[in-house]
Amino acid sequence: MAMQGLSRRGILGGTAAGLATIPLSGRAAPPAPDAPAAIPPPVRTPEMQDITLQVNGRRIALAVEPRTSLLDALREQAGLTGTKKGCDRGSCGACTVHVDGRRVLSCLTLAIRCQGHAVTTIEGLAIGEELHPMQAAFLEHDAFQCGYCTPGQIMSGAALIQEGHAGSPEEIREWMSGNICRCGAYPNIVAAIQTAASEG
Amino acid sequence: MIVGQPVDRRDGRMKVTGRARYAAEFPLQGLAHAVLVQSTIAAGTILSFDTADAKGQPGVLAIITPDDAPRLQTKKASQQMVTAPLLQDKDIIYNGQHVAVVVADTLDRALEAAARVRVQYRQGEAVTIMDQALGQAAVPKHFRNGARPPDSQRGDPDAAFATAPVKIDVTYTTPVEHHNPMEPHATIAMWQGDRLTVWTATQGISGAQTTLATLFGVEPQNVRVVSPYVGGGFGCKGNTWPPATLAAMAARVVGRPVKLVLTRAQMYTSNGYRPRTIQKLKLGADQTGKLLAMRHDGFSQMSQPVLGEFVEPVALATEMLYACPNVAVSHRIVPVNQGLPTYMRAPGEASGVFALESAMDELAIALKMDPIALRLANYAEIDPHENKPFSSKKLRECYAQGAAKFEWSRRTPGPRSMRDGRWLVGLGMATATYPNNRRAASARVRLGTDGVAIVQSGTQDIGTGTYTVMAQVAADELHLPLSHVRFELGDTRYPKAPVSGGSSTVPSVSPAVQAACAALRARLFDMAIADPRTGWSGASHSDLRFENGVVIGPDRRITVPQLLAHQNLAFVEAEAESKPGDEKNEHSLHAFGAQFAEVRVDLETGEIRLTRCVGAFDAGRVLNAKTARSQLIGGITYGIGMALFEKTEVDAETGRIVNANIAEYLVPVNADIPPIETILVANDDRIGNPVGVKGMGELPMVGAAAAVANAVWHATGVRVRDLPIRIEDVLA
Amino acid sequence: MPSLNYVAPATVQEAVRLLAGASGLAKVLSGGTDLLVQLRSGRTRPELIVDTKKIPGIIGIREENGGFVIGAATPGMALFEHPTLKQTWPGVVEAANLIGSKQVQGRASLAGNLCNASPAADSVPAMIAAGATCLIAGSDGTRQAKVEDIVTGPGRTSLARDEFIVEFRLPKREPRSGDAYLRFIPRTEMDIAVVGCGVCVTLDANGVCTAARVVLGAVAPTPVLVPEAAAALVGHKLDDATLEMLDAAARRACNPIDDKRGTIDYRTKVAGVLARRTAAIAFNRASGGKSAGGH
Repeated sequence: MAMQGLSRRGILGGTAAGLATIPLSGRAAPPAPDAPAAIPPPVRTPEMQDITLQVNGRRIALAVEPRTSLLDALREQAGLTGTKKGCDRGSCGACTVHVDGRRVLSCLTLAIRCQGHAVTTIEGLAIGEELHPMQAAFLEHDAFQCGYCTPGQIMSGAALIQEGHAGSPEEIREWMSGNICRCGAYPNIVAAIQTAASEG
Repeated sequence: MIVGQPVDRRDGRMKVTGRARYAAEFPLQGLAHAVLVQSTIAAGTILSFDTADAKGQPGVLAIITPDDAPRLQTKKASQQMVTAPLLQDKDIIYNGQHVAVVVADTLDRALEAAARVRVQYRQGEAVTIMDQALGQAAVPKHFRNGARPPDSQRGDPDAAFATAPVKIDVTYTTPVEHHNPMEPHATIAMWQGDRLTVWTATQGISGAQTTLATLFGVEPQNVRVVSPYVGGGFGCKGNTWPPATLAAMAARVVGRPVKLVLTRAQMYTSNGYRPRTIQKLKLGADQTGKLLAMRHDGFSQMSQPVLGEFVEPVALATEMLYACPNVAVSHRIVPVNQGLPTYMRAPGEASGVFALESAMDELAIALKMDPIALRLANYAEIDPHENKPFSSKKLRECYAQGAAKFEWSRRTPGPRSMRDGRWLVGLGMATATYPNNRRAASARVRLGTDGVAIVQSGTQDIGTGTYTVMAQVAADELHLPLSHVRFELGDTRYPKAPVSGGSSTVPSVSPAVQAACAALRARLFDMAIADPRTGWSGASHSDLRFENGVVIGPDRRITVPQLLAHQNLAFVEAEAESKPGDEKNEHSLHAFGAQFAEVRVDLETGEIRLTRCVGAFDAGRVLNAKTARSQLIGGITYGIGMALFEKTEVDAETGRIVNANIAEYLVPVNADIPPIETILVANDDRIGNPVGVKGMGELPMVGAAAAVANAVWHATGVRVRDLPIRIEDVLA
Repeated sequence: MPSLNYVAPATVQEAVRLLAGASGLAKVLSGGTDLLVQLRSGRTRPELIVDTKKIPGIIGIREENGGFVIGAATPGMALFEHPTLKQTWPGVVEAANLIGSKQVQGRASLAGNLCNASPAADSVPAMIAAGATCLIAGSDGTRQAKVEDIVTGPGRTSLARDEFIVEFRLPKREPRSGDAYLRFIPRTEMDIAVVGCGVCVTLDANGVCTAARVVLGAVAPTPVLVPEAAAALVGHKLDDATLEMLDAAARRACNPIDDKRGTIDYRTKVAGVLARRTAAIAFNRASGGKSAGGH
């Protein structure tokens, strides 16, 4: 092979004794660094009210201030960070979730208002390891790059099919325009939604 | 061969299920929240803070101001490190500058307290708009980090221009633009004694490690930077900007881990921007279209020098793109009371090639020549600036294949000559080029008894596909199925790799991955030859092969688990560094492209709609057809934003950015983007690097704005020389 | 620190009592999309949020005497999905479906769009053109008002502090009439109107206009009903001369600001063009055509 510009800096062998710190399990996905996995104990402020949300089919008890958005409640309190904060002003769509099956912007929704309503986030879309058809289509069509807008795009796309507006590329483009993708995956997003719609 | 195949993004499953953790999403015990307080004036001095009200708010842990902020080792920092504003003094030099950090136990409480910090200023004189300060234009002190002077000249361009029969003498301007990655910048910082761990949204973990270690006066190995997923960068996460440093400072002050996430509005004042440019272009040609003279004088907006120096190098492409004997370029900076500008996707080329390729279109019109024919008439067979051959250049193929796909031949030459109902139709094209950059990078590979190769490099995947293409390169080099290769990045515990900027990640890191894998294979061969049970004593590496985890040699084979067991090893590991050699001394290294755009303009309202884009690119060897195409359509989309929408608006009076949000700073939405077709012309450039690749992150951005502007001229007859192209511009 | 209270009363009377009794700033929450943005930016710091969602009828659409009653907090998407509303008042429905993104339309209501009192609110010109009225509840009972009488300036309305809108009423559509709304934005979607125009016309059997309402948005501090533009249409068929008069009248009614989104000259010119295009769609609909609106 071409060794141009290469300096072999070190070739090492390790002994079995040195194995303890080395992760060798064959995880398919890139690993999360070894951060503590526990969610920090919530701070209780006097303004907080106890609410119960139905998220991804599970009841979650939270204490939230009246001003707390559903987005912050999900990310900071429920540990559901799949829903993303891109603008916090309803302009980007990264925080799209389903409430009673309809797509809404969780940054513009008060958590306290969601009591008694069914909330679905990106974490609740797959059934076990089986991806939702929209997730699978996004993967197949490479409908994302950095991935930060992706949960919102997928939640929006899944709802769009329910709404009956995935009929043509033009219609998809219009009805998906509330989800900004700065990496510019739009043509692939349209293709993914067409695929998922035709399979659905 | 796994390289080249349209393999699905390997981090894709994590991303589509919401399990990929970005910087702000690591849960830590006792995490506190920091919020920035920003100046409301553009110049002056802080007289005093009134923090009594804020301190009295529930949950407040600290309010850090220049009065009590820990001192940082800013004097030890290198020129490229951002060392201000870090609460080290009370000078105000731009509106939105950070002046205090409020830390509280919840985000809502930190926000509430931050809103109650009062600051008294003595207001100074501010110049907030570049055009008001052109008289202060200065020669850059650190152009290209001192690698070359800011000006260059060959031949006698002024004399040649004076006598040229056909002349273009025009000024182009481009606005301040903001990167706006979808993930706002975020950092979680945690101190354990003198050891600092940061989870941060960065394009360069090594740079973050060095910068934080320098500023806090600790050893680099005591700073660990973790960044497994980055929600887009486009340049604004290249430097280690003050918010990351301030998060670490806050964590040190309160003795707890601290999270600092910028608001979208703060993304406009905290981590750079593409500076406004004013570019004077002169082109002289003979009647056949041969360029006789080119002069490109660029002025770009700068902050006050105390923040550092950044130059938008607009005229570098002008030096090398066309065969012209008389060329001069210059770069000047104009200081104003705004933050420090920085790299933004195709820094220099995006703004500069918009000007150059618009001017070439104007020249083609003046000559009544087809725009592609004009470019071919001036095709540079060698780099005319460095007087060196190109390592490879398939630009001619780009023009030909792009024009064929776009059906350029249907274009009628005159403006307003193509219509579709109430829509004027315009077709435009432009050339793209970007240097093929490469820096030193290292990688490590470890093969264990389970047969899985774990490849690690301290590089980044900002959405560009690093996880995927590096695994493909490693799989090919090790002759392993892709399922048996895992690539890990985004942690300073891995071997060092450069910042993901300048389209350099793939050209830098893939050779290191390839070299590490080759070194691992050599190590396995050494082990096999030395193993008495193989009977290969005296054999050479060329007698052996390594395939699917098995070393195959004369008459027999041995598996990796067997080899390891014989020597009582759990794994075998190799590390290698790969760095540029002297290829750059002998060759000019560039990627190229030809970009085409079709626009429709409403006769009555001036509404501009793009209807089709085609881009044909020479980006060297393609590692993954699927992720490569995504890079290309993404770059074109970014360029469409530059052409038609993006502009940061500043209130001249206060220096405040008035559209610091993504509702009023317009970025393209789905409905704005037409079908985009991309072509990657066949190439494999092993002179540029041992893998044969050229970076393609910036390239598709470079020609996009000029292609659109040229199409708008063709539709309307209006030449727009100031971006973005607005509807008002095209209404006669 | 004034703590923020959230209440979701079950009756109109209870809501009015809460609003009237609030010591500090009280805000009515219908869709909530604008209010949440204001809360996050610190532009408004209310002590009380009165969520109307539990009030019967506040969300929903019913047909009444040939017209429609639309609950004040009904999201724009519900208008779009109603089986007959879109056929009857397509301009109103199209306008309501231009408020923000589709996700925002799942929440944003006509009342919120109106009471936020932005000069560029998309649904308001269409509602005014359609002759919509609203029912307002307050301490003194309820009152009816025309939609054009609600907004008094940017961010200001004629509602008293204890008042809120309960429902909107769209009248029975006259035979041979039609409405339309168009706006102009630089981006293809997801943008704020640089100019908006709502038109409603009624024709006689010969296609001659007998009644018209023309409303412009984003060209003045409030949406403006332009009687001169309506007068240009009445008594005429849709021909070039009529459109020219309409265009001129629309341009004369403009009193726009010069800002980064559009110059005065540009907004004025586009107002005329949009008036013509919107009128053409409204005429077509009135004469039984099914012309789709633009965006």
